[in-house]
Amino acid sequence: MLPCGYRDMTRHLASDPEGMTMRQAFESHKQGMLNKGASSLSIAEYDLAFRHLNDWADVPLRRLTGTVGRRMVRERQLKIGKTKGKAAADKTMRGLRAWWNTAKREDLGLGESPTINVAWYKSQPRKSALRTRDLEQFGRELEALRRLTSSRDPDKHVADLRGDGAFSD
Amino acid sequence: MKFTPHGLRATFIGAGHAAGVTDRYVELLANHKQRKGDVHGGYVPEDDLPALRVATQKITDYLRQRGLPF
Repeated sequence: MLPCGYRDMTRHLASDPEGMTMRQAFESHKQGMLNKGASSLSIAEYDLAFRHLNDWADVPLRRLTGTVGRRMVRERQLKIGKTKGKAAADKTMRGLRAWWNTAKREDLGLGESPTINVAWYKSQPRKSALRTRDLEQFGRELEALRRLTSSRDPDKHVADLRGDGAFSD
Repeated sequence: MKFTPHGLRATFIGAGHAAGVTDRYVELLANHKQRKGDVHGGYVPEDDLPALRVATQKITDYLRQRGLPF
């Protein structure tokens, strides 16, 4: 709960010259999402984004500005891209931008989000639908599978499939 | 042939569009939320089971005609 009375407010400003921390901005943004009834799945995505930036949780956002801040953010996105994947990296940066912009509404001294400097991967979802010309072959393999599995231990069968790579070429 | 379990979902959705099922019914069957800006979507009742059944049957027929054995 933020202090609201005049005395509380002056004390608050004196004790908080650096503005909102990452965690405060994140919580504030999350409250907004809860208020508008965002799904638990969307909120979980933001939680994950925040976890990828966990070491910055108590850093005031203002320290992530300027040339150094922008460079740090850019490098973090690349690092997540290598360790957790491109989609996770971009999602994390979108999360940061979202709660940064929420924080800007309250923290008037806060500048533009450093994610402006991010080189987005913009990875597309995998195209995973079976091609129309593959449907027939898929159907035949499915039929063969059904004949086989009706007389076999399913676990053993899956193990065999992995071995002979029936579903990949 | 590339196969993922999620690909079955994508195949079903793609077949729905190819079979001429309207967008909103394909979306309903896929449990997708109504799009922002889709002003007609709200007029399609989500619990009209006979209509959903017809749409599903269309998709099934489409896939069967193309060699799926179920």
